[in-house]
Order: sequence, then C-alpha cells, then structure tokens
Amino acid sequence: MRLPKILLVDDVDYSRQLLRNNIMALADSKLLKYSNFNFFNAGTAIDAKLLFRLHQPDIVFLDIELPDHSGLELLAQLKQEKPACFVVMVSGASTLDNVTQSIKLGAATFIVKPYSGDKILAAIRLLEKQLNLQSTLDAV
Amino acid sequence: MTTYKHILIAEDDVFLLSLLEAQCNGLNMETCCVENGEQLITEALSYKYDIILTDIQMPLCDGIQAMQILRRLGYDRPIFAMSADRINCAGFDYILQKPVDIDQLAELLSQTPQQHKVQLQISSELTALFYQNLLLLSQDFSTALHNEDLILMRQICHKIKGGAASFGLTNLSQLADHLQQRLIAETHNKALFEEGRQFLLILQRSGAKNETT
Repeated sequence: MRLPKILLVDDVDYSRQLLRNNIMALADSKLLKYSNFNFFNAGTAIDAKLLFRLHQPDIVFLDIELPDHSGLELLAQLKQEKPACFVVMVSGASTLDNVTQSIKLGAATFIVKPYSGDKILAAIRLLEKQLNLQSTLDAV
Repeated sequence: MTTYKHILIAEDDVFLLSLLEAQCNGLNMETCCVENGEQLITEALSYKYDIILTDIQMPLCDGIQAMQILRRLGYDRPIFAMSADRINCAGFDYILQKPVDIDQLAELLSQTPQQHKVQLQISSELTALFYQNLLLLSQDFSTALHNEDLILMRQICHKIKGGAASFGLTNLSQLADHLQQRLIAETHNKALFEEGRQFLLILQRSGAKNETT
C-alpha cells in the first residue's frame, strides 16, 4: 500500500516539526491504521502550492495565517485542484466565523492551537473514517 | 493526572446554568460553563472535555447547529442535549427532557466513561529549537518595539502565542494573545508601548529561564 502523503504548511519551523513528531507518535503507538507517512514541509503559501502540485498530497495541515497569503484563500485553491484532498485548517483563533468559513471552503476539520495529542488524533481519525467510507463505496 | 471527569455545559439561562454546575461539581466533575453555541464550539475544540451537555435554544448558534458543526469536524465524544420540546435529530448521544430530572442526569453522567487522553510528545531537540526561535523572536520584537512597528509586533505576538502554549508557557501565550488583540484594535499610544515593553521583559525572561535548566 502506498504511504499517505502529508503536507505541513506553517511558517514556524518547530510547529511543523511538533505536528510531524506527534503524528508519528500516534502511528507508533498503534492508535492509527497507518504506521507511516510521507511528509512535505512548506513555510509559505507559494511553497505550499508548488509542493501540492508536485506531490498531490492526501492530507494538508494548513495554518490559517501565513506570512504571504491567507490560508483560507489557499484552502479554496487546493480544494479546486484536488477536491478529494483532506485539509485540516489550523488556527490560533477558533472563532465561529473562522470555523464556518473553513467548512464552507472545503476543510475537513479544524484544529485550534495550541496542539494537543487529542486534537491531532481526532483529525487523523476523521481522515481514516473518510478513507474507509471511500473504500467501501469504491468496492460497491 | 486528574481523575475528575471534565464537562462542558452550555446554557443561556444563567440560573439553570449555575444549578447544573453545582450538580456536576457535586458529582466530582470539573466544569466549564458557556452561554451560547459559539462559545460551545470553540471550547469543545480544545478537546479537554469528556462530556458536553447543551441546551438547544441559545443565542448566536443553537445547540443543534453547534452539535452538527462539531460532528462535521469529527468531534466524536459524547454530546447530551437538554430540551423542553421533542427533538428528532441524529448526532446527540442522549436527549434529556426539560425540566431536567437531576437523578437521571446524575445517572447518565456517572455512566459516561472518561475519555482516553493522548499526551503531546515533545522531544528535547524540539524544545531546544523552540527556545532558539523564541530568542530570535524576542530580538525581533525588541527592534519592532524600538521602531514602533505595530504590524511586526503583532505578527511576532501571533507566532509566540501559537508556539508558547504547546511548549507549556501558558502565561506567555496568554500575554501574547492579549497584546496581539490590542495591536489589532488600537493605534499608536503610550499605554500600548508600555505593555509592549513589559511583554518584552517577560519574553526575555522566558528564554533565559530555559538556558539555566
């Protein structure tokens, strides 16, 4: 089976690394269906778009506030290019407006910073549920 | 680690809310109370709660909408509703009739297990990286403050806020959040720069604290 590809978009280096370490920790402790992932990193919206086109990731963790662009606009563009992509919006502010805007533009879920193990687990579990549903539908 | 169950209660009737809070405290639960659906969503997304108990009719966003948004985002922990009317919608784990039968509520809450909690893993390399970055940010902040560059100050606060909380510096994160809000809402003024100077001192001290450990 091909490893799922994850694109991490955040302008803070250690934030991306924290996320990556914790996704791998969840996988290592057998809390996830997958035991490994391929990771790609982007610190800006421009890099994110390039890497997205190049690697066609299955999952994107996308910070809503990027230095060069709005994460919400980038979300809309990514969903247009690959509608099946599972996008997790990440934000320091969980206002209802941010949440509903993200859903409207196609985000699968929303993580409010600071990160916690439970938040990351919930996001990946949702992804696995949707992939299961998809494979059941494909089999029919 | 605490053995208390954490419950989030949403109810716009303040009297009923304090009654429910007292009831849950009596059952040895840690409570957090909110008064509308918007607060319910933002609090629930902290994933700190074992149980959510919500009213249906609330301002800004009602209990059904809030539940549906949370479910859509993959929130799969128990959500109980309280309603005077019969409601028929999927997504709640249980619907209590209002007025709430306190014994029934107590029974329901005690039967609901605590959620398994997953700790955030932070390696020492990552912590070191965070403190290196914090040092750079404090230097940048010092320059921005000196130049009275409000935009740069706000951007730095934003970065610190997100990162600091994950690395256990809750206080610094809250201060960064507060200052960031002010930097959005206000223009150049003395009090704002004074808070900026205070923040810089705390920021520098936060970095120094780690060097000694």
